Amino acid sequence: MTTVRHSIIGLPRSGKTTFLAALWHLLNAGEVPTKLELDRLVGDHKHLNAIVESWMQCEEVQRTSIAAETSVSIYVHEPATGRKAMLVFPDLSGESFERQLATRSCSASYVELLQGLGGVLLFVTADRPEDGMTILDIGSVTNEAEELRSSGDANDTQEWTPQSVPQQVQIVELLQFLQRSPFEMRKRRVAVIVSAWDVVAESQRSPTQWLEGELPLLYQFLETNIESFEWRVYGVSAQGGDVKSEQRDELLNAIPSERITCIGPGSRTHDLTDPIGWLTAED
Amino acid sequence: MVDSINKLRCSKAECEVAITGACAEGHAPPRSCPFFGQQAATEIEEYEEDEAEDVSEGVTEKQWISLPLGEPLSPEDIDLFLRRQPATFVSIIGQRDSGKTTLVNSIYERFLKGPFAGYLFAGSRTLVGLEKRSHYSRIESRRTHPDTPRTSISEGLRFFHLAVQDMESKARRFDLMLSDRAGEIYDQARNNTEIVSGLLEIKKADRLVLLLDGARVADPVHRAGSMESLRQTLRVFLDGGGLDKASRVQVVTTKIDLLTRLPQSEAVEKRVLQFCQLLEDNFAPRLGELSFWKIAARDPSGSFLPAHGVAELFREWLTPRPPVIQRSMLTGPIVTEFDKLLLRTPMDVIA
Repeated sequence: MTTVRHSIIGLPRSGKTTFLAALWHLLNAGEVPTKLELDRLVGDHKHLNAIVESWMQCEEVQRTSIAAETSVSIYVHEPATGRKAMLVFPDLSGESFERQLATRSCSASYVELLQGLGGVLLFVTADRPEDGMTILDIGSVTNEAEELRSSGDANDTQEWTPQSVPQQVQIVELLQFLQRSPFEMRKRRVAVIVSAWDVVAESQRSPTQWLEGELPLLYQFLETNIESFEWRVYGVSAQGGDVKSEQRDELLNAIPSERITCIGPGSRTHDLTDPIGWLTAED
Repeated sequence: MVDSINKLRCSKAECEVAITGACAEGHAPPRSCPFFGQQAATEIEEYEEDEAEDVSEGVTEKQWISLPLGEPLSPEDIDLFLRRQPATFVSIIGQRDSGKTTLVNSIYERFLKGPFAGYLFAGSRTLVGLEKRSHYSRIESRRTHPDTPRTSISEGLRFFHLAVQDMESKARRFDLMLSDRAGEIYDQARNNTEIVSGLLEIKKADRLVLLLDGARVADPVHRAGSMESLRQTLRVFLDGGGLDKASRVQVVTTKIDLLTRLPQSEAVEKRVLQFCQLLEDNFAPRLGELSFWKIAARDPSGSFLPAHGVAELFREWLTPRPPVIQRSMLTGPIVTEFDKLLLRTPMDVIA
């Protein structure tokens, strides 16, 4: 049976490293039942073990720096069906995705990774400041502002850079790239992982409703491009809560794998392999 | 002081902003010019050479593959696009600063917040271009007042792309191409019929949008001139062969927030209505359709919601209309069997 290769896409600070730490522990420890089981890992164990240690101690998992950057691949299989999958984290830091947008180019290896039948784990985070706000979103323009403008006081203004682009627009662009050459044009499964789900869990919205409300351009894009993307949204709290608050003691006392929450369509489990299982499943 | 002079630079070779402080494109202040502050061509070449050296020194052995730029589309890009799928062309014509780009931006900004006018955002080939044009209206720009960078003359004709899907009927999906060209060119065309034939966006237009600048209408000094300018533009486009009985023209009064705030707003509104009536009387018989609209795409005072009046206009652009058939006689001698066949064929079959 062939191994399906899934790739991970996400901008910096979108929760990829913490997800990987929790997933690695989950697969190794066997504390809770999981859909997929570990076969082997290929890549830098040292960095991986370091981030898992932080995760186990309920410390904030330091985001991956370019210096610590390595490509990590995890091989898993589904005992029920025997299906095999390979999960490739081509860029844990996420900076290569920023670079794609800034330089409008990508590596040949990234194109090669996206060939084949695998799907995409697309990371966005619920724990981020709102961006892309217009001046009028925060109120009408005052007469003072009008006067400032007419007097030409524009010394402190910030010119456009690729980093000025709101995150949801950047993610739509990353997905649009996949719809055109040099990428293979085919339908892909995309599991949108909303990380730091504990931050918004109280709102009672489902992960899909959160996406619709908070990243509306991305939601519309996915809704209208079903010929390119079959998609689902998962809310994931890999830490289980805020490790920088008093909640840390409570989290430390829990069985590590049981801290994890993964909310998918109609399911709420500790199993981070749930979205990977969906990417791997046949129609 | 020396530093501040050194910072004044432009990527256009012929621009002497560094010496004179004046922008060759006519932007005021010069920093609002898209070329301002960019590296000059020679500097870019030097930079690229440096980059090449870095790569050869083994910074990366990776092979890099180009991805789409996301900038506004040129007419050549449009030709390539049309080989794959059809598109609806909306050509937006107006004087300098009349609100052409702001109208496009207001639509894009609405989609960033959710569905707009009954449509869902389905993609855009020009996200970078749209983002650059939106930047001055964003908090990140650290401006105190929302603004739109002016389209420069040297950019020529460009198109912004928006793909949208009807929320009710998913089968109804459209690729909209919205034209973008510096208003100065339309001012030139107004004075010279021959320029009209070179304005591709007029011939391509499924909808031709003529902007009446509300800011000029609000100013008694420029009021009559702005109306006259629009009338002349319409006449020149018709006389120059750009528009005909098949054309759908929309006259859109922009920045109506400025008009409603005038002490004599009723009188000004009446004046605009009279002007529109005259346009209707004089030009509607020569066009397929002539309609009138009012918008406030981005009211700084907040009295009007963003994109006020734009949703109705946007929906109209996407409303399919039967083609207007123009009946014309065959010119020249009837020689071949094909000529005879053409004579016997109903014109709507050809269309």
